[in-house]
Amino acid sequence: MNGWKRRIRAFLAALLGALGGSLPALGCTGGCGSCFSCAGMGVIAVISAIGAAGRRKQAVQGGGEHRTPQTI
Amino acid sequence: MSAETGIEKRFFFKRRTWILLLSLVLFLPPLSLLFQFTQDSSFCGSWCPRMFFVWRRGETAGTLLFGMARSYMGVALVLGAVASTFFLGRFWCSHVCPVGGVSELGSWLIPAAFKLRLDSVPAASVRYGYLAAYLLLPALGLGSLCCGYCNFATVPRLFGAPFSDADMAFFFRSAGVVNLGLLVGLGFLTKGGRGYCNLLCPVGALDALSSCFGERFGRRVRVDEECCSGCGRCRDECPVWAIDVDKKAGIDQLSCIPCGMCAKVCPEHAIGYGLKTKTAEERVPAVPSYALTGQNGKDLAA
Repeated sequence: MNGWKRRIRAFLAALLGALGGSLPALGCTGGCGSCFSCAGMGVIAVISAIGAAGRRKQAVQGGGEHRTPQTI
Repeated sequence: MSAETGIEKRFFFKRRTWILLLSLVLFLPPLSLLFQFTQDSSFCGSWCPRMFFVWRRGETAGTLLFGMARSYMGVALVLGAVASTFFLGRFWCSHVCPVGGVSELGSWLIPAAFKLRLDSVPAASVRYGYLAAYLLLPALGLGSLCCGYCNFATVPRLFGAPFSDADMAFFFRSAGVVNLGLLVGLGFLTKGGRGYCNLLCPVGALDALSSCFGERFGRRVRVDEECCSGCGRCRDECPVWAIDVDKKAGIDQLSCIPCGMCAKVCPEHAIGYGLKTKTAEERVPAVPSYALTGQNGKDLAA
């Protein structure tokens, strides 16, 4: 359950971080590629997501989502 | 022999080094062999793999299709990557993508003491949170992440800068500086060199979905649970922190790229690349509950 909470927190932080970072770029027509506000959104998204996820203290129980421990 | 000398020797004797260098020859300046078929010099233009699947507010179906037609090689590249991933796993990301290749090669040259570990970050959550913003922003008319933050634009320009003033000028603009910083910070300076790919690449995010959906049908890197001792060496080696070890190793197919690093270090040879077969539990048919009853339904064992 804790694993899911971390994932949801990280997802929302990445989404809202990138959206929030775009506010200074309101009115931008897009595609110019020369604005710190836009280019910095990736940094904001990653940093906020890392912060929101927190430090993992132990392995995710049950192996986590989409794990495939089947034999070959 | 110094530690640095050891790193250099391993670098040039690894088979994976040469695979990644081949991808650089195909896509990056000064050779860019594949781009020469379409008279392009970089991913920007007809090879753009990121812009065509974004819908901007006010855009009609016609202009969207026109955009796809304009970047026809990018469409073919992404569709080809997604289709091949469904059956073979994320070979585009692990073996062909020059952007990821440069990040990975660069990280091998950095001493381990200087590298960041991002394995506490749930990569898939961040990736799809960012992808959602990537798709939502243009749809809401708030701008675009396509060119303002593009790994496919940054890396080829890094190689093209000595030969082209236009490429060099990119790194004197604010976007170029930030993108270069991200490439270094999330690429070269991360353990495995795939932080940029694993957290923020939209093409990788689409590819990962295909990998996850096709997991039952296609070839993937898989763990033989019966052989796995849960030592965790594979987890330490994985460049995309796709392996979690809880008694046994488990592979997250949303993040796994079939680079083969885990299989090489596994002391039990428990990791391989192949089709899904039945688990030990599935191979044993369900055993009906045993009962010894007489004709009248009476339990004779009692």
